[in-house]
Amino acid sequence: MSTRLLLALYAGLCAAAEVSVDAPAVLARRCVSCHDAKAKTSGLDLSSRESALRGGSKAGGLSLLLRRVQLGQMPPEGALPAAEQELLAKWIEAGAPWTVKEWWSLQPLRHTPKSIDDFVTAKLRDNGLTLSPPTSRRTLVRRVTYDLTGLPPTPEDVESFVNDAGSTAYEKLVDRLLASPHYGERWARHWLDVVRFTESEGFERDVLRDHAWPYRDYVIRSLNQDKPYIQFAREQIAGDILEPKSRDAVIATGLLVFGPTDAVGLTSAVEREREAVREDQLEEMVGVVSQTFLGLTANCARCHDHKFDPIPQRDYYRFKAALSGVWQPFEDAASTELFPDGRVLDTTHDEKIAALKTRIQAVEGEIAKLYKQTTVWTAVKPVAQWTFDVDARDQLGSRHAAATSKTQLHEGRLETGPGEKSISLVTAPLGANITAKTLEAWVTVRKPLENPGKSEEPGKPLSVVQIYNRSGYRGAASDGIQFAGDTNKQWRNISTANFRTTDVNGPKETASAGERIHLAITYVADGTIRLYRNGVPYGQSFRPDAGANGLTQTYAAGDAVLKLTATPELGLDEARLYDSALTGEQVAASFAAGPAPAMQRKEGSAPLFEQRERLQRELEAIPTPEKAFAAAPRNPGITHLLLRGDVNRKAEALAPTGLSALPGADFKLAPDSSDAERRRRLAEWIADPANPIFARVIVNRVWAHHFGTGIVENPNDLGANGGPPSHPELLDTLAVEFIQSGWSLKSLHKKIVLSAAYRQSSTYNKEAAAKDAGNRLLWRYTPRRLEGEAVRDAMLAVSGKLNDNPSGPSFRPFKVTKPGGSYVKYEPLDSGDADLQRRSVYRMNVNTGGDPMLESLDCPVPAVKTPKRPSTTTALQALSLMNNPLPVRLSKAFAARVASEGQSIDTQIERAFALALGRAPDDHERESGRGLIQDRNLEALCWGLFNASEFLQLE
Amino acid sequence: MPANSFSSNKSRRRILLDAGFGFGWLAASSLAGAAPHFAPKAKRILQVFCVGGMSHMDTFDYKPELDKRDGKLFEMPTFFGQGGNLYASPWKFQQRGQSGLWVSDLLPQLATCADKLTVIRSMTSRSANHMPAVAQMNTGFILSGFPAMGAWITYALGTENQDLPAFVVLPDHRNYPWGGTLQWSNGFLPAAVQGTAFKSTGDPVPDLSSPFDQSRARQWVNAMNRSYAERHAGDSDLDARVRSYELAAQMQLSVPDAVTLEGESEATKRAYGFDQPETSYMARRCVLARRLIERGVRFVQVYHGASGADWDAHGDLTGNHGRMAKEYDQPVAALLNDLDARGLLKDTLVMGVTEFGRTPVAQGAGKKGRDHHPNCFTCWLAGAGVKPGIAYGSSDDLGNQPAENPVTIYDFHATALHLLGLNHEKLTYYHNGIRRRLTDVHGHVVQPILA
Repeated sequence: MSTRLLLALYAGLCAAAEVSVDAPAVLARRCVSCHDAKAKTSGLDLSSRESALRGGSKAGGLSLLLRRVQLGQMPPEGALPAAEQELLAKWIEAGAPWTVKEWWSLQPLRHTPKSIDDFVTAKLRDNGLTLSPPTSRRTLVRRVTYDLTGLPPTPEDVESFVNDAGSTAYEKLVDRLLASPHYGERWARHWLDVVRFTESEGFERDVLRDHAWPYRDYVIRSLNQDKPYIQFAREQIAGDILEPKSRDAVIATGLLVFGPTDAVGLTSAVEREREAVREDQLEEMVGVVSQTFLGLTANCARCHDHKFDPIPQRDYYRFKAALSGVWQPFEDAASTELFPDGRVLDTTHDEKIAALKTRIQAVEGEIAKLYKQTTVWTAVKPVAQWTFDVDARDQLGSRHAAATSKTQLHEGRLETGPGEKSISLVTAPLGANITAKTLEAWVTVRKPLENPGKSEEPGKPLSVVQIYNRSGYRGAASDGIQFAGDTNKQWRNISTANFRTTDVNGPKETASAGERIHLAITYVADGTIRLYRNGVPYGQSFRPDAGANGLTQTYAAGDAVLKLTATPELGLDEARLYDSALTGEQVAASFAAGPAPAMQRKEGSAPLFEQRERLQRELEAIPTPEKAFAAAPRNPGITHLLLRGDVNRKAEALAPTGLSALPGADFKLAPDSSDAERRRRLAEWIADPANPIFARVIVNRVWAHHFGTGIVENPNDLGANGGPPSHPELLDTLAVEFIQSGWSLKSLHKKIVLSAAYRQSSTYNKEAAAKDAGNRLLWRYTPRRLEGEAVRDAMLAVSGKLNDNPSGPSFRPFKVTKPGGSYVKYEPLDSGDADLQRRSVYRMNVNTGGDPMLESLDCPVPAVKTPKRPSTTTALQALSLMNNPLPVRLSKAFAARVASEGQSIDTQIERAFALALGRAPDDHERESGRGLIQDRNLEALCWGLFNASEFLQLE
Repeated sequence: MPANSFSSNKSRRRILLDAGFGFGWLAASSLAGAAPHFAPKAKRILQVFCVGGMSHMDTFDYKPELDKRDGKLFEMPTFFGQGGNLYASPWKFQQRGQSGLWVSDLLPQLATCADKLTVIRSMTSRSANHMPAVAQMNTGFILSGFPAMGAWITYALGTENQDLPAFVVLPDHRNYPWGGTLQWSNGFLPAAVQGTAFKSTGDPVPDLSSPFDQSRARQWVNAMNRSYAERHAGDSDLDARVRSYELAAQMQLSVPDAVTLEGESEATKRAYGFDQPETSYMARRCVLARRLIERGVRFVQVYHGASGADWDAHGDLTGNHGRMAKEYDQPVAALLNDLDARGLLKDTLVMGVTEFGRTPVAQGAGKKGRDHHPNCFTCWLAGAGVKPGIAYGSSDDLGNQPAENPVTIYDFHATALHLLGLNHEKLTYYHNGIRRRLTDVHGHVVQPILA
């Protein structure tokens, strides 16, 4: 941008908002990277008024600073602009007041009765520039169709618009596009970028979030309905509280929780670690709420007052307090407020299940009465016994295993059904603590154990019975019997914390199919762990020796459960738990006595079994409940100011409020108020016509997508660091009219795309570029490359393969493997499967499974909040466009389509150009295209069109 | 008034936005020559990353006190929450070479390179948890979404060789490290600077090979695109696209050439350990790394170990570290010698890094292991700009905490950037309100190790 223009903009900004650029902000921006409290270069700390007034190690204080600035000696990168020097001079003269001035974006909105074009042309005129002439109708229809729907216009759309000379033709086109369901798909993608919509948890495991997609559909639906933006925003902050009966309002709160999940950290055994992880999670949440709706980076004030904007550190914590009741759906047994993978949307679902389960239990009670206990305990009586004769109940107590729809009992054995990989039944929690213990099982080998798993896989471990505490770091407290199919084909003690999983050097298991094996593992109070097979010790006993306390694990009443597992290789005949470590003799005796004999059906039991069967089927018939990855509220507790943002340095308790630089920030709530009160007030305060920045932010976002750059360059930051607005009065006027329209985004789009500024040509103009290279003043329409999603969607549309089936679970263009450890790996794949031909907005947004082509076209990592995408051109991008399976496959489909729609080579070329570029080929292109088809084939031409700049570019 | 002084986020970002992204990354990367803040000592970095956490007191940090107190109870918090009995290293330590650096018998070959190494024994980091720990070493942050060091460096310096990606990752043959592709992500930087993970089977670079003969069709596309660019003179991203197709074609030749190891001499193959099953995979990665360095790739990251198959010796230190070190030792030593012999060590910084160290106390039953230990661990450097044959910093008697001159990962990163001629406080990128740095708000260059 030229100097003159910059000054003009600068002056315009100052005049418009009647504020001067804040001097402390200049210091913060230009000076504090060297002169802050930490670096204190030359003893000077300019991060606060107090320290600035103290001056540096040299005498002279702020006047020395001013002198060095005026001499161009400071900052070392180069002299400050004259305007900033002047500002500093005046400020120092005025006694260096540190109070942050009223920043333009926080001021009340002002309406000026002028049109978009009035504002744009006036500013152009002031700078000796003009609008470019209107673009051609052919270019315009392509531009506005991509812009509003993300898809190319069909050749028929193009011709009908080009040939419609009527004065309302363009308006009719715009109305039609805004009414298209593709409008919501297109603009939802922009919104999903901002709110970092992510369908996997990130961190170590990156597990998929299966129930995040309803939020994406909610956004598409809301945009297509033209839901008032104020309502759209409120729902996403507190929909579950404001309208608890509305599915959409509950789904909407997904915005709060799409940040990454540190599952390991959140369940750490160390409380301080859990707190630190939670604090980071809340910082992320404060970031998304404040940036998305307020265009302010409140998250920057966690450790200190915001360096650029009027957000004191205290405000950060008060704002955080308003969100502190929000948790991600997360499997955390330590909390009773449990939403393992999503919030169930049908609240009656659980009741239905519970009612049926009660009835099943009653019937099972009746059955149990018919049978008497058949086992005579010669030695030690277990505390629990599962025989799998008629059900998975505990024969001795109430540690019943929960039957699942997959439960298969066959000949008194728990078995997998055909095609099933494994069944694991989880029992009811223990009734008393247990430390010394014995786990015992009889298993029947159903398939040879040599190489469990598919033949091409290395084999896998086969668990039989495991005991574990559900709380705490997952699996750290666990013990059990496992066959080491993955390593040495022996039996071993399994613990998720692998330092307890030890090779005991037992013999390799050689049992053949049909054989039954007795297994026992005893845990002595002194820490010794010993395995037995068929009544005799197996391998060496061992004793974990870390620490004075040893490692004998206590499994806690109400927390610990057992997991009983059958695999295709091993059926489970019986399992028992003892609350003592059996001696060798006792194990041998138990082996000799054998499992409980299979029970015979008793007289009169048939109707009961039938009844149970029927209820079980009814239970299974209840559809899987619809869930959404949405806010899972808990008691927010009390929020404290944290010194330097450190969870170990708690200061005073704070009540939830908004940001004090904006009106009405005091929520009048107590520090211990409920999550519902907090978020209700937060939503009402943010999404409020009296909050001027709320409307400015969304209007600027919409503008930025239409024109390539916002009136404010960074749509997530309308603070001092985000750069000044190019047309502040225009932004205000549009914001006021947006509110007056009932917060209608469609009206805003229409107003913008009907303007002459939008409809002008994109032709380059050297003179204009010399004055305004970045085109901030809009002397032309800024040409741009299509986003990755639009490129992919256009290829699908042009080749006739686009699957128009909207909504539903995300399609997964990748293969998920779990090669080792607890970590999931994604590998991209492409196929003609109908699901994979859906629009890109329906793609599953995973952290580590990015698509090489889309990534090369600047699709962001989903977890990163992306208000504005860069547009790069690289060799890797060219490789993807040339060779990625998708364009290669679709250029074949494109050719087949064109071949079926036109007989001669010439009509085929015509059709291909019309579909891909929306125009006819010129003579030279027709001739060269003919040459290409004759030398190669039609597919080569279609592939070429996908790689054409013109196909990728929007003029 | 200079043209870039209006924006509050000017300097590099402004230059890139005005001159770069608007025109495409190709245009921006031609700024590479002007990018270092001062004369660099190193032109490029080769990083060898031990996944899972290599023990410091079993490799480079000799702790006689640990031998004396072997088996004694020592209370300390660990990742799994238990203290335990101190555990003397099962490997003997010796002073090596002219420098007399202590290196254990676990790494006999690397020990012969002692005079080339700069060992930092007082490293300290923030996370005891695998994925965030790898992330901190790569990005400076334990949360994901931040750019990897290789991405920052590519962003700052561009590439020396347009025919190859500037930031190449060679993952372990078994799997990716914890966190997968997030570990070489561009974060919020432009996608063009993300790491390219070379695959060991199929196309090393995604979409590299053409599934059909495209030569004739490419001619046609190039003519179309050139003509389109001419019709839109002034919009130079269109010229960049034409150029990107030329580069893509060159890359199709130069990448296979770079990854073809057949032409390496038998002596080289033997030196790296191609012929032994334990070392052959790592040997191939190390030779490939050297070939990429020779061809001017800016940042090469070689992983040793992957999630689930790594240095994470909880239960059996001797078995685990014995096995991992066998895979690691010879190829890495050969790599250092080879780089030296070819004169590449003069302007290449080699970094031997890991996730965290391991506890001085034992863990596990029977065969003892060690737990995660971010409080103190060891990394090493070699090559351009660092003093060879020295140990910097120290840990306490048990290797539990840094004793002298603690070095944070921020310091470590600041030093690496410094060697590349970059001031870590000036290499910034504005993102959603913050001028982000690799070193966050921390970091000091470790001056005493600079040559």
